Amino acid sequence: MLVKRVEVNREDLLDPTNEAWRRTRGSKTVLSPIPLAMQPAEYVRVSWEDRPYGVVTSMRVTAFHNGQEIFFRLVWDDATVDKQIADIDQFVDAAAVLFPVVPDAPLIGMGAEGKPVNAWLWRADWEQPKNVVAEGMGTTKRREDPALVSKAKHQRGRWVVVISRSLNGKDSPAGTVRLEPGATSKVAFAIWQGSNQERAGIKAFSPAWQELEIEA
Amino acid sequence: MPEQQIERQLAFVFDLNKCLGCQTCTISCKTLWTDQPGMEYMWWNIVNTMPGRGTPRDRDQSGGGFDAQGKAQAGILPSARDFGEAWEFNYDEVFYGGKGQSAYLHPRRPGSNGDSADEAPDWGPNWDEDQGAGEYPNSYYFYLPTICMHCTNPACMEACPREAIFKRQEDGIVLIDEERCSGYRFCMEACPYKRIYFNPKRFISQKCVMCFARLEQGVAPACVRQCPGRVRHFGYLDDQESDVYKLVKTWKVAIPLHPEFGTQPNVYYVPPLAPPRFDENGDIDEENPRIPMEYLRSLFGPEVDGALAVLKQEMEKTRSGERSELMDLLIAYRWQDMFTPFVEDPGKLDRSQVRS
Repeated sequence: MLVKRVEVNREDLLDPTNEAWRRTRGSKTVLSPIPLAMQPAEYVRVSWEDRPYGVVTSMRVTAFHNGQEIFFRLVWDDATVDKQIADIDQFVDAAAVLFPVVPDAPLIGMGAEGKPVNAWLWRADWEQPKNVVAEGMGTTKRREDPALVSKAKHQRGRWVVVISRSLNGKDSPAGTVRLEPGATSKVAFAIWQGSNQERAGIKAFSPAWQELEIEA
Repeated sequence: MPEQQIERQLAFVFDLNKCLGCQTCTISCKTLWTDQPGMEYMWWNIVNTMPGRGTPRDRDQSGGGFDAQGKAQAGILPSARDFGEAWEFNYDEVFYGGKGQSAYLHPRRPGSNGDSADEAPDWGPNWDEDQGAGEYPNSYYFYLPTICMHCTNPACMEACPREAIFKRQEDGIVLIDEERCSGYRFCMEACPYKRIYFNPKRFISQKCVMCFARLEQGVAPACVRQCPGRVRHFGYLDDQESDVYKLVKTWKVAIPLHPEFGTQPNVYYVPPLAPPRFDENGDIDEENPRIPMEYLRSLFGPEVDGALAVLKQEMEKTRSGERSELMDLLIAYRWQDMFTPFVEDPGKLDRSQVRS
């Protein structure tokens, strides 16, 4: 995936419907459910055995940067808008953009001890995305990150979400990914369908790292 | 999941023959622990009339726990409506709206203005209070208080993918680490006793903490200390001097609720006795208990027969003028013996340690 350099200001790029985004349809990313065998709790494996999950099967992703900040625009079909918990048996729609913090951090299993991954987690009921670091499933630590911002819009049966952060992440918590023009990294994505009570490892994810090339 | 080895286990015994259903335990817990935003609908302690649907609605059919092979079982995630929402009342209209003589006070669902029929509550905690079962003159009911069972094999703890739930080594209290909890609510599904609530304001799950901060100052849990009926015995299960040891281990009259759930709960119940039935001629039928044994077995398992037999035998002893150590224990002549060694006066609590 190429992160194209564009001369567009931050405000415009943060707007999911801005014309800057209309020049490309983005690349299709196929998603699949995290296998049951990888769910860390027996309860989760048993209770989702006969229940479909990871029901969002694909998304389109476009990535831009303007020299200072990087922007991911995620688009996926979702007929149901779940952006608040009106009752306690409800869950909200969410999406994540995941990076390796060290080059050989494994995607499967959300990193490993000593090999962390970093996710930028958007949730439909949050004002601001959260910065998540994990060294294996169930080890995620969520932190506030002033450099992370998002804007989202649900229109015509689909979510359109822009997640952005400074490229170098200098204002972000320690241990999060550093990016720069001309460099390469890797990226993966995940979607949680709130109306299907998806949360934690019950989600759809892109099952392999994609190369992320940041245009100089 | 292998059982975690712990050093000691604190346990409760609730004597169902003495419970008045007054909910003083419920209120003592509410005022101490669940009066913050997002906790309005929470009742970590609740007393239900049985037979009844329980709190949340149809609790005994909610799944969770483990099967006979120790495999986790799927459970349902109740809604706030199932637990019973925190109702609002038309105070403004009745007290300040000039309609004191014409409007009557009535509850409405939270956030509604109470105008339409579906905004009237159709459920609440202990909604079916005192309904019970059976036909006159053989109708019956009893009260069943429940809290977190602080299980030896907690289904909630197994279910949490974040390992946010832990069981303390020194006393077996099961706690949710609010820093680690992400509000996924698998624990609520997995708990077969449905004693975990979700706080939508803080996006975490919360439950009975056994008043651990009081225990650390030698003070019994609020629900134990405040019970006017002397229903609640409390102490270490391995302390041979404790009431809980004597009732659970020595006399075997205190037994777990739903042992088939496989979580090995640490709240034990002295099962309810009931007067005999009247037969069709209106005569007393000594052979058949008012509360069907099948029903009691469905709640307490097969051990309930033996527990009731011991109770009857010891009651018979006292009727014939003999002394029964068991009856003395259950009568609880010396109140503080019920929760030794946690006999410190709550009036002397350092409150800064009890509530943050």
